[in-house]
Amino acid sequence: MEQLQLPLLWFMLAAYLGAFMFYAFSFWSRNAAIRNLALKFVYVGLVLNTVVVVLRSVLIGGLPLNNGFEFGLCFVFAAAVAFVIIEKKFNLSAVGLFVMPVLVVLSIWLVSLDLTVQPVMPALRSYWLAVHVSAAVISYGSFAVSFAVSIAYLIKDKKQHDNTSRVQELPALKVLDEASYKLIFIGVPFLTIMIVTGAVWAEYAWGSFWSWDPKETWALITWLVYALYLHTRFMKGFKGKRAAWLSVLGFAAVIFTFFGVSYLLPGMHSYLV
Amino acid sequence: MLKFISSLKLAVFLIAAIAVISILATLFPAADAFHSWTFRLLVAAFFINLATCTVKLLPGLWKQLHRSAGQVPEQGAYTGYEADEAELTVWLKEQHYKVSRVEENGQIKILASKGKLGLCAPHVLHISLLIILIGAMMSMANTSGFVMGQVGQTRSFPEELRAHYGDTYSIEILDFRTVYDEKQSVDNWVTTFNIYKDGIMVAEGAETKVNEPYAYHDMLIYQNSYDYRHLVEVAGCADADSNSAYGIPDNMPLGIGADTIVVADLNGEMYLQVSDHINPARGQFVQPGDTLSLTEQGASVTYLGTVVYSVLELKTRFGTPVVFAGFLLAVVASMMFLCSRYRELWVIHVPGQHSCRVHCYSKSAVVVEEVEESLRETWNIKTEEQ
Ligand code: HEM
Repeated sequence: MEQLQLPLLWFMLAAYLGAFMFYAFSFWSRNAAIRNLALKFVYVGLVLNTVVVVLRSVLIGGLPLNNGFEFGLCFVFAAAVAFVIIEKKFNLSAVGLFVMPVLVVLSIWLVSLDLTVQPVMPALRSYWLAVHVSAAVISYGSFAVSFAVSIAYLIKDKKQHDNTSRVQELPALKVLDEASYKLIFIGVPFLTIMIVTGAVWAEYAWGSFWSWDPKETWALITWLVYALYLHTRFMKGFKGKRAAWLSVLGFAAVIFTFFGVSYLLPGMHSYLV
Repeated sequence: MLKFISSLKLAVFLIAAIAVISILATLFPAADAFHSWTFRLLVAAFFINLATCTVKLLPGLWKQLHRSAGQVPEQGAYTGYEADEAELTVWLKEQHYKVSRVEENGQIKILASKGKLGLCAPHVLHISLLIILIGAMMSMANTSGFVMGQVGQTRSFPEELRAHYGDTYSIEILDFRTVYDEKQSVDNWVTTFNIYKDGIMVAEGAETKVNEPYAYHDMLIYQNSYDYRHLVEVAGCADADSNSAYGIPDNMPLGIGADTIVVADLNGEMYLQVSDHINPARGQFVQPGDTLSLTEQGASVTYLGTVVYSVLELKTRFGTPVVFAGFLLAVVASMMFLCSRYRELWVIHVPGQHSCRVHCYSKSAVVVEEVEESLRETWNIKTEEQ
């Protein structure tokens, strides 16, 4: 069964890539019917994604949240789910053009990883880990989609007065702004739960709830950036463009926490590779 | 001045400053920015900012939680709905709104509200952050130290903790073992021990393992690591301590006279090797009691066996319960954010008419839209907006 993972992952990647290409084509040709086809590809990708998640759970006999591959797999899954939900709620299908590249890049990274099942080190055998990583998956998924929505906002904002531009196909700026806020508003509580449960787990596993290890610190930085996002909204002139930039910055922090820290900085959290 | 100290502008500045310093600190770890006074001052300023802001906001929150229908404003962007007040009230109650109602100046005013948890959530979160910061400050007073002992040995508390607990405590290591799961991979490491105070046992058969430290009073005892020592005895050598065994770490050379002695654990089998600068190295797999001759006439080394040391970390946990209480509150606040968003409906009705004027108030435009849509679906909108 272990051998089934890779082909399924390739099919999943192909579906997300197909969705991206149809989104791009519908954007270019201003054809809403093609956009609906693209959305169908997203659903196919999501089904395959679910199958891989379930398969992996069966293989390891538990929640697939123990290493970089398993986390990445659930991250992609959560982002796809967040997109599907927010798309329904705000009628945002056109934004798929910006969400799909995130899913495609992450999926390419996934197929490049070692998919064999390895024993889990004792420190990682904790219920706190399951809660900690589940919360991370949900918050990162929301932030990924919020990032894509904000990119759509910034692109539309740049050409909003050009009536001939294709960006007019994108949802209204106000809708994009609200959707991004809604996603961040869901992501932040889960990020808070992620940091708190991570700290409790660190207290039990390593004897310190906070040790300024780079991964911890970057999770905190991410949290601070999104706190800025939420508070600047109460101040004049911070909705819209500046908020969109903060959302982009926040997701950059997410990505750095996830990849940058593991690959570029030294620290305790070296389970990714 | 107080206005500035408690302001959102200052909050935004401080949060941004803390974020920027944190980024720099991870890029230049040698500077140890997190223990610098600049950073501590920033965090202190953040604490004061958040504390004063919270104190400033709480009365307003209290008022909003206890608002009554009499406070419903008559001016505003009301929309007309085809329902009378009684029908609308029934519907609102079905939707789990809390409804309050007054009659004044020939009008009926209704205030319906829902999602009070969501209204309180930011404040609960802010308070939880304050608690966490207080606990973190307290926990700066904590100390920790290591106890390393082999099975059967009794060790006194480490230096660092003696200042706190006095000279009277000691730990006796009863057992150390590696636990495997059904797939034969390491599941955990477990040490069993007794604690003595003034020679009297105060904890018997206590167990500590990875992820499950043992709590004794205001202290936690962690399974930190373990280590092997190979015991060898050297005889007939002028340079060696007579009649005493050496405990040497795995694969670490021990120099005796002209010789270097190494014991290595090769997949559970012990290999003893002797080398000097002249002859080729000699070695063999050994059992306890096996002897190898050394370069010096009549000298020999005997392998006695391998003992395992458990390494425990002892840590005081002053302030940690406070931090954990703050954590719990932060999680509660997060749930409150997720499960409810506050909204109010302001309704004005003139008795005798089969219609009401309704206004929805919420900080979130999405919520307002949702509420207005459900109103539209249930009750027809009257065309004119007032
Ligand atoms: C990094 C730490 C902080 C976090 C994570 C945080 C979190 C939050 C969240 C999630 C909200 C709700 C946002 C929304 O409804 O869109 C909020 C609201 C608010 N925060 Fe903070 N906050 C922090 C620090 C501060 C500080 C230092 C101040 C001090 C001025 C502050 C003042 C406020 C105010 C005035 C509100 C609006 C409350 C209301 O709805 O009436 N926050 N905060």
